[in-house]
Amino acid sequence: MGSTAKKGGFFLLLILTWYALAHSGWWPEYMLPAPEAVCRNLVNGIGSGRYLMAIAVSIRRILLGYLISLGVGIPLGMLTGRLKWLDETVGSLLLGFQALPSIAWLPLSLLWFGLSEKAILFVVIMGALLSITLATNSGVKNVPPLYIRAGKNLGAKGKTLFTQVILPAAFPSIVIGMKQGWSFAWRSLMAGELLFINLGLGHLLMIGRELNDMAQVIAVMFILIVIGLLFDRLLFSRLEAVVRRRWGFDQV
Amino acid sequence: MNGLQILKDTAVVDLEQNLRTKFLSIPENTRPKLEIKDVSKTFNTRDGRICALNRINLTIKEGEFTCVVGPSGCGKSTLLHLIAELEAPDKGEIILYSTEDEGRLVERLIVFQESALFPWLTVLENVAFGLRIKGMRYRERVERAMDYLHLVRLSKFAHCYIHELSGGMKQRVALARALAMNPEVLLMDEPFAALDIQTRENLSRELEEIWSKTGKTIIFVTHNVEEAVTLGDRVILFSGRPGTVQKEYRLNLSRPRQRENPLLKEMINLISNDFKRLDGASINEATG
Repeated sequence: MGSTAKKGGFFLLLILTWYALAHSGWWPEYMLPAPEAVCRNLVNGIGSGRYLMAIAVSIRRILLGYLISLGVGIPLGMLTGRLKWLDETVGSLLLGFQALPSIAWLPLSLLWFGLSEKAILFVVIMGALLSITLATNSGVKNVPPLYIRAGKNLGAKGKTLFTQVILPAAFPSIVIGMKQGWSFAWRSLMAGELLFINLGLGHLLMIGRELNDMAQVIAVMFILIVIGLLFDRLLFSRLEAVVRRRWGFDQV
Repeated sequence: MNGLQILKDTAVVDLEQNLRTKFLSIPENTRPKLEIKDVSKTFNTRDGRICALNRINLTIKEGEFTCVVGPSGCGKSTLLHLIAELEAPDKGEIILYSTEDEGRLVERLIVFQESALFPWLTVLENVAFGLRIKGMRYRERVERAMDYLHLVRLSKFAHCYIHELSGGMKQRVALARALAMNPEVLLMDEPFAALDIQTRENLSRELEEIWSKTGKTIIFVTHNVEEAVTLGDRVILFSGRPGTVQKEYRLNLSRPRQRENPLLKEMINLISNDFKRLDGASINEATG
């Protein structure tokens, strides 16, 4: 049996079990809604535009926060990776901050920015920025000196040495940081939306809870999974495939 | 010891003139390519200052194949790094006499023990890397890189990534990458040390052939006496810590070198004995 068939069979079995349990009457509907109820909720929610709106808002927030984190984190990681004095000062500060779960920034952020988009953006950035910076930093620091010597020997120096040798050599590490940064940003965003912010998928989850509407809760959870998988497939799997193909890591 | 005279510190092996070969041998009076004058280098380490090289004097002629042999840690690699200007000497100077050549992109190039090829580039892109850095146009650099891949017989692998190659192939790509830059001197830092014997012998034969085709000035560092004698016009024996020039042997053996040649074997024995004596002395020093 092919792996797709195995997967398909497994999920079919899962849904059938869910269906049987939901219709057995052992649990009230607000604890375990039937699969068709969740489906109906999903279709209605998307049809009315309510879910699409929430998806758009959440994705806009995470993309903005993530892009800012990339734009700041990669250069910052490169600088701290190359300049020792900067690494010893700013680098150690960042390392300390990484011990802090990003949602712990929320109270501070609320006091600084009020109940606004800026507050959630700040939390998302604090979630992604540190992983990206630190991964870039270690990637740049761990470039084998042999590559640098060879690059210099072949005539690369200064900026060229950096863009043509050090940066590509650090690429696998940067990809790991980007992926980790993305998942931290996504978690921080959901935590932030659950706690206070209007609109967005986290907010829909909270409304589901308040209305005892378990079908909505599960429907939104589905959406979250799908978005997560989509970004993984579209972006990170591809980047990782590039790394595997060139560095040959899959043969280890 | 027929045909083997030792003059002062220089052992000279006379070549029987009737055994002239298809390869050009180096005329005696070519001009110097590289002069190393009184060069010393010291490193600061945790265990204090280590003198890696002490007052090295060497003159390398144009087109000459020079092998430097010595125990590990005798500063052979340091010498190459100094010549390549990756590091600066504490004392003394290294003078390179350049010749005008439009195709010359870099004066001094090292082939490292581990190939130092870039995993994010294909074989072709690796060979063309230096050409790209020097601003050569795409079509031109691809053409030139392919020429040198042909020379090392790896043109079929142009679009492979580095991890797909064997150790010997990697070193041939590294050699092509260096030769593509057409350097004044090619510096080879134990390039075959990590390979198995079979690959090593094949590559050294290939290198001899490429050298005779291109006429490059080569300085080849190794701790393997047999390799040095098989390849070099001249073998320079270094002592360990601090590295100093101990002896110099001139090898006028016919090319391509035949491993079965009794003169060659005799030479290997002679240098090996000197080498062992030296190595033993340096060990005694270290322990005593």
